[in-house]
Parts: sequence; C-alpha cells; structure tokens
Amino acid sequence: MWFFGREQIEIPSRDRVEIRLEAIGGQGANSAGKILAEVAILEKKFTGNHFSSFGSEKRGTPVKSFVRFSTSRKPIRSASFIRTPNLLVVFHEYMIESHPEIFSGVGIETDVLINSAKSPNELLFPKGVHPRWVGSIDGNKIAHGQNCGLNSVMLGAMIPFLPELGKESIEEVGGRYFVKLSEAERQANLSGLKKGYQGVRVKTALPHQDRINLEEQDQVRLGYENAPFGGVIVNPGNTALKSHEASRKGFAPKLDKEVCFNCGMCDQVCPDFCFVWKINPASRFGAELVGLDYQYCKGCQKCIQVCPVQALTLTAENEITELERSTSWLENQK
Amino acid sequence: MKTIKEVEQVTQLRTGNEMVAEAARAIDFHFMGYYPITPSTEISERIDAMKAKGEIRTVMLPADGEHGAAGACFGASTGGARVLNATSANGLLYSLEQLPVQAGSRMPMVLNLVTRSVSGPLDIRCDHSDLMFALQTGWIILMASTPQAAYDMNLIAVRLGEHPKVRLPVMVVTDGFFTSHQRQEVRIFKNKSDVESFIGVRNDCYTTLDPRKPVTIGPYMNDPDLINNKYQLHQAHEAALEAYQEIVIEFEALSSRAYPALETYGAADADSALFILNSAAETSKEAVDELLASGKKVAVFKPNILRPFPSEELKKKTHSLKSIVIAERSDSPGSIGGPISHEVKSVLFSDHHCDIAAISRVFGLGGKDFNEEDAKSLLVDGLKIIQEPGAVPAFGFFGADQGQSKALPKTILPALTREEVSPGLVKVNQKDGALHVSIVDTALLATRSKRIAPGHGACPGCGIFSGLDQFFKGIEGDVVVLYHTGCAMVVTTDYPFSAHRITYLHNLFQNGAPTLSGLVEVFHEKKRRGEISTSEEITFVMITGDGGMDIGMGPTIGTALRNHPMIILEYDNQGYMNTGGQLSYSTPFGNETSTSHVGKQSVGKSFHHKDTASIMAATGIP
Ligand SMILES: Cc1ncc(C[n+]2csc(CCOP(=O)(O)OP(=O)(O)O)c2C)c(N)n1
Ligand code: SF4
Ligand code: SF4
Repeated sequence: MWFFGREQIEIPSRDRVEIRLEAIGGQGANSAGKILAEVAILEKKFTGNHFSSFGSEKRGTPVKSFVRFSTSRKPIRSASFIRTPNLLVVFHEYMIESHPEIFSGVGIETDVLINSAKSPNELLFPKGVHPRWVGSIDGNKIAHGQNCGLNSVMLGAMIPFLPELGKESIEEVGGRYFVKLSEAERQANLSGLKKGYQGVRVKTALPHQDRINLEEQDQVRLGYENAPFGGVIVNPGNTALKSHEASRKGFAPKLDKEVCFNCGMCDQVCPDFCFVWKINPASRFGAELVGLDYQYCKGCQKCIQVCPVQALTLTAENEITELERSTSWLENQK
Repeated sequence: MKTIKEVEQVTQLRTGNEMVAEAARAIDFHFMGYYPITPSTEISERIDAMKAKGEIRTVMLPADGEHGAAGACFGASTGGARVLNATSANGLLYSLEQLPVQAGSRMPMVLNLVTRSVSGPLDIRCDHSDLMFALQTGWIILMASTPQAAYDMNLIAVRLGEHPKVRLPVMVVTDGFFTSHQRQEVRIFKNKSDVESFIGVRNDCYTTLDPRKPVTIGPYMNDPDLINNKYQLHQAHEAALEAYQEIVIEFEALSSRAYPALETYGAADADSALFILNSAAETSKEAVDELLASGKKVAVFKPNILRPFPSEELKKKTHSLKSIVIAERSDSPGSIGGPISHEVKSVLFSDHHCDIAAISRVFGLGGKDFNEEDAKSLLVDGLKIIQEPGAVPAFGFFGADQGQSKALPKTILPALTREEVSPGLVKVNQKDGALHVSIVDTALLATRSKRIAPGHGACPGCGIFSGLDQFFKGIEGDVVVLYHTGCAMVVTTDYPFSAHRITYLHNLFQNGAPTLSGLVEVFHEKKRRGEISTSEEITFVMITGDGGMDIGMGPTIGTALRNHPMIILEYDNQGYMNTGGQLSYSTPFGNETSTSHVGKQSVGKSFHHKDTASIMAATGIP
C-alpha cells in the first residue's frame, strides 16, 4: 500500500502484468523498458519479454515500448503489441493531444502515469478514456534539475504502480544499468530515479477527466475502400496538421518583436519552418515577421543562435504567453 | 552413439539481433560483408563493436550496397572462409541476383534475414514478403522464431551448410522487430570451445586460394549440363533435410533445446491446425493453450526449416486433421493464398489428403500487429469449417480495413499558384556569354511560399530542411522532385501525411537518377507531341543523401553521362542517418560511426572521404 498525495493506491495482486510506454524517440523509453524487463526476468525470475516499436530511427517520432511478465511464471510467448495495458506511461503530456491513439485499450484495470507539471486531477484525457489510477510527475523539471535522463525519473515514478517489481530491485537494476555512464551521470540518474519516486502524485481517475474533444481534423480513416491506390497522397502539405511540441524539452524560443528588425535570418535556419511572415512595404526590408508557430517548433535553438540582435531568447515554456502561441502558419496560408 | 553431455550455458536477457551477434562472437567468422538496412543493421553494428574491442577477428567489409555485399561474401566464401551477412527487405532483393550464384556454386555461408516488408510503399516493419523471394534461390532456410533460436540457428547453420553432403549457403530468418528487437531470457554457450567442437572445422574440396590446385569456379554451362547441375542442387537439399535432423538431435543433447523440422504445439490428435511461420507461431501458442483449456482440439504447426520443406514431417502430422488454416505474412497477388499456403496444400494433395479443408489467410502485412486474440480467431475459423463447409471463405485478408467511408481527408492547403512559385525574387540575365544572377534579401525570401510545409518529422535541428529550403528559394517556377530513400524522404511522407506542396516522387536510393531521367525525357516528348503545352516549364530536381550516392553511384554516373536537363542535389550528412548513423563513403577518414568503431583493433573509418564532386565533374556535366 502506498500513500501519495493523500490518496492511498492499492494495486490488486496480479498474475500477468502488461506495461506500455508511450514516448517520443530520444526520451529513453526503450531503455526504461529494458530495465523493467531486467528486474522482472533476471531479478525476480518471472517469465516475460520486452520489445519496442519504432516509427523510424528518428528522434522526435513516437516510440512504444512493451514489457510483460508473469509472476506465476506461465510461459510468455506473445510477440505482439500490448493492446490492453495494466500500466500506461506517457513520457510527455503533449502526446495526449498530439497522439491521442496512445490511450487505446485503456480500461478500468489500467493505471496511467503521465509526465506533466499538472496534478493528476487537472489532467484531461480524450473522450471515453477512463483509467483506474492517474499519476503525474513533473519529469522534465526533475530531469532538468538533476541533469539526468527523463527515463530515470519516469522509472522512479512507475515504482508505486509495480509492487511486483519493488522499489529496491528497480533502484538496484537501474544503478547497474547506469554503470556505463560517468560517475557524475550515474549519480544524477540515480537521484533522478529517487526524485521520480518521491515526486509522483497519484489519484483515482475522476469522472470528469475525459473532457478533451479532439478537433475533427483530417480524421477520415483510410482503408481499402477509400485510400487512393498505389499509396498516393493527394493532400499536399498536410503535415501542417501535425504537432511536434512533444519534441521540446521544456524550453522554446521567445520572440521580442520590439527588438526584431525583420532580417529573415531565423527563417533561413529553422528546419521546421516555424516562422510566419508577411509582406510589409513599411518594414525595413519589405517583410515583417508575424511570429512563430509553436506547433512545429522542436526547440533546436538554431534561430536563437543566428539572430543578430537577440530578439529570440531561450525561455521556459510556461513563460510564453497564449498570445505568443497563437500565431498559426496554417491560418496565414489562407 | 557416443553420449553427449549438456554444455555449460549462461542465462541473459537478450534480443534477437543481439543473439545473432553473440553467435557470431562464438563462431568468429573470417569475414562479414554487409550493408545497413533496418531492422537488421544492429547485427553488423554489434559485430563491428566486438571487432574494435579485439574480441573477434572477423574482417568487416562495409559494401556500397547489398549487391556489393553479397558479391564480397561470395568471393570470400570461395576462399574457404566462414562468411556472414545480414540484411532485410530491399537489401535481400537488391542482392537477389547473387543468391543463386552462391547456392549454384555450392559455397556455404550464413545470411541472417531479419524480415521486413518489401517496398513500395516503403515500410520498415515485419512481414515475409522478402523471405518469399528467397524460396527459389537454392539456399537452405532456417526459421528462428525467438531470440534464443536466432543464436541456436546460427550455430546450426554453419554446421549444416558445411556438411560434406550439403555444401550450401544457409539463411537464418528472424522476424523484424518482433524477434530482432524482442528481449527474452536466453541461454548462451559459456565456452567458446563447445561452440567450436559443435560446428567443427570448415573443409572445402574446392578453394580459390590454392595455386597448386587451380580450379575454375563459375563456368559457362548450357544444356545438356545445367539440368544435371540443378539435380545435384536438389539432391543437396534432400541430404540437407537428413543432415538437419541429425544435427538438431546432437544440438538438443548439448543445449536441451529441440528444433524438430516441423514443430507441433497443442493436441496430438488435433481436429484443426494453424500452419504459421516464426514469431506469430509463438504468439499463437498462447491461443492454443486457451482453446485446449476449453476442450477444443487444436494445434499450431511451425516449420523450423523452410528449405528444404519438411514435407514428410507434415504428412505424418496431418492424419488426425479435418481442417488446416495456413496463415502468412505475405501474399502472392493474383493467387488464392501466399506461397506457403500453396506449398502446404500441395503436400496434403500428394498425400491424398483432399478431404482436409484447407483455408488460406494473409495477415500482418507491413508489421500489422497479430496477437493471441487474432490467432484464436484464425483457429476458430478452422473449427467452424469442420462444422459447416463454406462457413468461412477459403481465402481472405485478415485484418484489412475498408476505411471509414468513401470520403478522402479534406485538402488543407491549396496547390501553389504560378505567382507563388515565381515571385520574381531571383533573376537571371545572360550578358556577355555569362549568367548574372541577382537575388533579394533574406527577409523578402522568407515571405516566399515554401515548397515544403512545416510539420515534417525530422530530428530537432536537422540541417537537411533549411538546406533544401534555401536551395528551393533560389528556383523560380514549377518544380517536380524525386527523393531517394533516406531521412528527407522518410520524415516528409509518413502516410497519410506529406510535407510536399509540390509533386513528389520516391524511388529506392539505388535508382533515383535513372527514374527522374525517364520522367524528364517523357516531359519533353509530351511537349513535342503537343500533349503538354509548349509553354509549360518544370525544373526536375533529385534529392539524395550521401548514402544514396554510394549505392546509387553507378546509375547516377550513367544519368550524368547521358546529360538530361535535371538537377541532382546531394545533402551530405556524412553517414547513413536514416538507419541510425552508419558510415557512408563520405564519412571522413578516422571518424567513429556505429559501423566504424574506434577501439583496440579499429581506427574508425578506415578509408578516405569520397570526393563526389570530382567524380561527377569527370562525367563532363555542365
Ligand atoms: C536496398 C536498400 N538497402 C538499404 C536500405 C536502408 N536504408 C534506407 S535509407 C539508408 C541510408 C540513407 O543514407 P543517406 O542517403 O546518406 O541519407 P540520410 O538517411 O543520411 O538522410 C539506408 C541504408 C534500403 N532502404 N534499401
Ligand atoms: S527552436 Fe528550432 S524549430 Fe524552434 S523555431 Fe527555432 S529554429 Fe525553428
Ligand atoms: S533573426 Fe532575429 S531579428 Fe532577424 S527576423 Fe529573426 S527574430 Fe527578427
């Protein structure tokens, strides 16, 4: 029995446990899954397996990592994805909206842990998603503070949800795993793990929490009746509907329009075409920078480095105003 | 028979790819020729790291493509060396021509095929469409359904291929991601000497490396001789099945792991069986357990060897059957069933088992997930058809989705207008026989509509897209692009999304330049015929990475020599980034990459940065 955020969380004893980690490439979900599997299989001598599914080799694309184990040591042979997890871990809050499909298979026996600065009660899920326990952990802040991997923090935060594995074993195996790192990094990750465990807040999911009505954008599901043959895409530029905010690590460029002299250098270097411009003959070079569309910004900081007058500064996400975020590239195409 | 004691083994948690590399560590092959392709790349990366640390002696040859890799392996194997390769999907297809050469010359080697769907469209996930092309090559094909089997089958492969009555190359097949990246508890031979005594010493009757015994390998052979040569190949396969049975018995004694030619799991007197390959068979065992518990007599049939096909073993196991479901991660379009389903049916037919209801299902293409519930539903189909013939169709796609409606997703961006693509920011004048180019400030250029929309999935900070955008900013007018396989292609065309606002075409990165040259020529021919207005102007641009200029160098040189009006733009990020950062020929000398490790035995990339510009300049292009 665990006491967190005034609520006690009780996990019934389980024979088979299935964990699904949903992350963005580079956040270390694969390694976290590997550590859990090592605890379950090598330490606890359970049967089980682990594997990850990558969209591609890119950082910034969704990654799923699956761990299953059986405490009664029934053979586990399934090499399939986990469709109805007991524990769903979301490595970035933005994914709730940008990748709502990550909630598929979440039911009354699913606990959900999310990397978010919000409290469990404040988190909202897509309509129809009713988990059992909801946990939240401000993983980005801890990882940044400790200078450690986000996955170490998330691993720590998973401990209360996995009584079968236990705190000691997860810490021990994690510690062994970090041996590959320098001593400073090892300590950083160990303390990140501890802070994750201490910082996780857990509540029963509230009935009102499935409030997100995802916008009906491009929602037509393609299949053999309606997909153009040959795999042809007849919707040019529709990646503009995608969001890549989950690629950022808590920081983004902030534009000071007072300082900006509309030189266009940032537009030359931004790999993600975030900058929105309009023609303005009154402006010094005939063009005016309207703002940047944060939906596409991955926080690479190239624009910040190149800006000759420091009109762009690296800023914590929560210091960027709604107004600043409201510039839309798509709207400006119309 | 001498009694064999079980050898000492160590328990670890390992993936399929790691286990192939562990087997390679124990075998210490003389040579590995390879070319990176997901999901098999990790095998060569791991072996290269072992080599760098001095743990093995294997010579690592990073070829310029799979065709070259297979050639290098063939050459090495003629010298009596133990040779390894690993590939997937289009890598296998690109080397396909070499595979019958290897088998027809009877040169043993081991190729790990980590299965993946064959292009197009390009898909990196698992199915068996690549494997099916290998069936006709004359190679022995061993199936490894678990990470453990990936290790075991590699040891068995060396022994079997080099067996004096066999002398054939052997393919070991694991399922991409499902097995290659799945971590399970495994056991590894503790002592290398145990592996050595199991696989024995390679003994070749013919070698290219003994000048005192000259031989001619690969003659010009027409009728009436070729048919005899092929009959020898057939005999070798017959011998291989026998040798396999002996070897796996010995292996079981050493390891306590059994690999019968045809593994059956479930009721010994099953009414219905599911014949299914590799990892999906493992998943299906869980469904069998569930159905057995509810009193249904079902079983899973899983061949551990696919070539030679275990026909006799299958016949022996089918006597109680009333129905069989043959499910495959591959189709043979235009035929009712994938290749394996026809093979199974032909075995039943030759055993006068026309009374068994056999149904075929294609499932899991392109990595579509297949779980216990899916397996159960296939097994239940097999039972239904016993109750009521015709209850389920004899052939079908399992898991194909018709889509939501007849509707298409709504178009979100209009096509770029002529004014938008030609804003007049770049001007070219011809004066005194020279071209004078004038271009406006970066600020005005920034207002120009981009030919690539935001929202692509490149890594944060990727240099490709600012580079491409700057390049495109300099072109006025309409552009049609062809992208080679690589990062820029993958991150902009993740179905059903496309970042391209202009017409885009992909072809495999061996072949983009010829593809675009065909299109360019047809554009001009259609203008000549009046099928396209003579006033239409299109600039044709091919975008490639430096990797595309390794594997596609020959066709690119050919295209340049023919001098078509088109542009080829190479973005040189000095490695194969799409597959996770392996060396390319343009990686600088001494650089460390995932296939050019720095260590006791290796100095990073061992040859010089390729000067693509000079090579292309030598073609005399303007
Ligand atoms: C025949 C074949 N072999 C291998 C691959 C795997 N593959 C896809 S992209 C790629 C590397 C591309 O490198 P490069 O052209 O430098 O582009 P980058 O990914 O670096 O952008 C490789 C090896 C393939 N798709 N087809
Ligand atoms: S941080 Fe990177 S992605 Fe974001 S706007 Fe700047 S250059 Fe573009
Ligand atoms: S580089 Fe800086 S000054 Fe120039 S347009 Fe961008 S934000 Fe403004």
